Amino acid sequence: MSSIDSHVLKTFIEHLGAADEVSDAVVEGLRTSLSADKLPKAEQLAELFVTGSGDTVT
Amino acid sequence: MIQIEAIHIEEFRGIRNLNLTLGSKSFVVHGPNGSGKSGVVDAVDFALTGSISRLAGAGTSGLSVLKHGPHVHHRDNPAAAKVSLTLRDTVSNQQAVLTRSVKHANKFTLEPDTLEMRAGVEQAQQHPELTLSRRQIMKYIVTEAGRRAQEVQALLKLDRLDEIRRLLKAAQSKTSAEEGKAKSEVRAAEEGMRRHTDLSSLLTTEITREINKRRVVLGLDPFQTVTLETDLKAGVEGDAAQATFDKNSSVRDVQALVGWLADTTSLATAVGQLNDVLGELADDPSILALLQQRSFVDTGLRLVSDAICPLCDKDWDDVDALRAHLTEKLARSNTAVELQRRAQVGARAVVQELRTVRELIRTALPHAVSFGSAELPHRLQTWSDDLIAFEAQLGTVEHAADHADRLATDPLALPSEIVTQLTELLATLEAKPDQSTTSAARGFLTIAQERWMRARLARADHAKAAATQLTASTVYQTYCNVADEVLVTLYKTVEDGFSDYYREINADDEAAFKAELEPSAGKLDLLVDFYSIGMFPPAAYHSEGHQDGMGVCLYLALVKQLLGEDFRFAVLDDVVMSVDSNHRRQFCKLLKERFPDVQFIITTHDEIWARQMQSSGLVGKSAQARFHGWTVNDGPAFEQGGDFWDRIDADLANNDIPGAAHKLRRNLEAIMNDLAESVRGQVTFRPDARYELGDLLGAVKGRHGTWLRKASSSADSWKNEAMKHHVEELKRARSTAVLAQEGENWAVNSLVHYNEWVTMTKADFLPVVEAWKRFLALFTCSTPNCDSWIYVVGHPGHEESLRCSCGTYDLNLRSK
Repeated sequence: MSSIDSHVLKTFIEHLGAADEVSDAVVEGLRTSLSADKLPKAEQLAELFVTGSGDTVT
Repeated sequence: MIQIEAIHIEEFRGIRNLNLTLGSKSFVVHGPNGSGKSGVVDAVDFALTGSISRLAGAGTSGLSVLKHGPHVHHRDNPAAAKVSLTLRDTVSNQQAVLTRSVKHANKFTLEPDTLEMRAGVEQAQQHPELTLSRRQIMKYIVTEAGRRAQEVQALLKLDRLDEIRRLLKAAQSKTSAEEGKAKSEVRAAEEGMRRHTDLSSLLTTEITREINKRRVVLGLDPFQTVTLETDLKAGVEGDAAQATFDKNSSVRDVQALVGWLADTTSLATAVGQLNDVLGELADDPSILALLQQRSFVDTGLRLVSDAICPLCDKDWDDVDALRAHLTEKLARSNTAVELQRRAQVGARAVVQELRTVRELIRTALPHAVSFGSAELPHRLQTWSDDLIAFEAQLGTVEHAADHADRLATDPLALPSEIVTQLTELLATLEAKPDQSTTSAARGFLTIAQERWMRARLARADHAKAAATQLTASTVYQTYCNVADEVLVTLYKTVEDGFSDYYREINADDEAAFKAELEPSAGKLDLLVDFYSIGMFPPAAYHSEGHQDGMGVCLYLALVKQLLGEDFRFAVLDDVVMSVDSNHRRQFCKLLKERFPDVQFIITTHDEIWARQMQSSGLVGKSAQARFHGWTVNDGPAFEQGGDFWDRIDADLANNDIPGAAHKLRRNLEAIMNDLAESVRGQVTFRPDARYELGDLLGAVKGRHGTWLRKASSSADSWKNEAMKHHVEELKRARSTAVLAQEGENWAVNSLVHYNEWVTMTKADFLPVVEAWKRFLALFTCSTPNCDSWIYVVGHPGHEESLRCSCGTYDLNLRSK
């Protein structure tokens, strides 16, 4: 990643961490997946959002 | 970051065997066109990146490093073509030799292979933009906004930002689609509950009332209030709890489907709108093709750089005609995009209608199983499955167009006799004897509970989907906000750096210059000030030379932004050939003073330019390679290091007086031009600017004397005895040198009329050379690392100092 990418990602994660709408699990998942050389697929991110949002339906 | 200590090239491009020693310092390679300079640039490019940018891009199809990297005599032997760079890591100061052969261009060896050196090489490998040609700098300046955005993004490595932005948008779209489906399910579940309870709304009070009516009939306790968690049939026991028939509710379910089929106006309206759009597409099939080609054409338009189509390699008369052709295609595809949007709106409306009828089929199906004809349940199920498949086909314009016939004739594909069979089912249900009050109450509560449960689950699913969508939207929006903020700041920094650098080069006539970089929707507009008259595109009014200057300034600002303190070397391949002579000194000063830690490797076909780089102190007097010829068998003829005195000494050693005299005369003419400019010599104006050596020499000598006198007066006025003494020493040195030079003036005339060279002997010529050396030393900083000509600072009439680039030679010209 270039220094600009890294800077944007770091700031993005900091802002998300302060957002009530986004859970810690999603923030952590994004930190990991968006720092990797190979980016995840949109389906994988959507799944991350599902598991990390709202109450679990039993 | 690394810098280059030495270059070794074998059988690569036009070079057979070549060694250059750079010593991690700025270096100039000069020589006429076709002398092999670019082979050096290609070699550095190749060694660091494994590719040759000259062999890539528009107009290079059919060219490859493997086939065309080796010298033509070794075109079938790529292993013979290799480049070695001795590199130095600027942080650890380690050195290593990087070697790469054309045969294995993707691999390199490093000796010694240390972590620091490998990291430095890999960093350089990621920055092919550090090797820059004039063709490349112009792509930042004279280009369309979309193309410029792409180039700048690529240079700043911003592609990943866009990639992540698109990824988060795609994830958000998926969660939005899921939320939409969940919402539809809530609507369908609530509609089923409304129909069953025969209520127009699901207000808690009304639901509670309807449920309690039946519970009272069954002797059960009424609810205070019903919530989504309430078990509506709580207390109903045994087989009674399994009762699933409620005549009135069943009649309403089947009636709803029959009624919908009797009035399909809303479906017809939606289908009509979609058919209109599909009709327009059918009338002009090329629109659909344009839609499919759109991104292809868009990419092609951005890649156009000459009159060869980057998509099909077709030759056009001129680049403008090619651009116009592709732009027209793109404009036609804009119409297609609008049609696509209308088609998508129409398709969504049709799908919504189809979902409604499927939901009605779903609720009618259990009744068909219990009371319909034998084949009715199967036919309803098959019909529902067909509608699901049809809905899926309406997802894209192309597929919807494939189903234009069905949409035009029978979008529901209503099974034959289905309406009759449903009507019979309805009649059967209506003919059922009224249930006993208790039986009806049991059936009502059982079905109500089923539908209440479905509504509860649907709402829970929707709540989850809505929360997921909110997460996805927040994530996407946050990323966009952060990236935009960073980019705005970044472009502002680049804009300021660019303007600053350009002003520095053009301080004499564009001191108020400013530029605006405006990013918007995949474009990057660039406007520049033109003599405070207004902001215009760079190519609107500025000369080619000024545009060249802008290109380099923007490049420097971008690379500085990208690499920061890691910007330690760059190869500039003839990038400044159009910069006019009035601004070259400032350009050199810019590179030297703003980028003191950067090793610039500069090629130029202009020898004067090369000398100005040296005289300004940008490159050392020996930091040069002079290419003066090339043959296919031998490659470039070149010599490295040494200034023209070394070459004259070499001629004298060989008793080649004409050669030495020719070099002396040629260089003196050029040097006197430089000195006349730097010390502001005054000559009698000549419209053709073809001044004789004598004209310039007199002007330089006169002006030099003037400045020394002025410096002496200044020292007096400031009572600076040390400076006064220093100036007096300079004056004495001047007297001696000028006397010697004038003593050998006879030779100047001979040099001017150079047919007299032949009569000179070595003994005649040696004192001449020595006299000129002493004379020129008056104008040269004696610090080895500077070695630049002295020059005057300050506006004419308000001269401030006579100084050199490093400041060691610095005479104050201002008096108290």
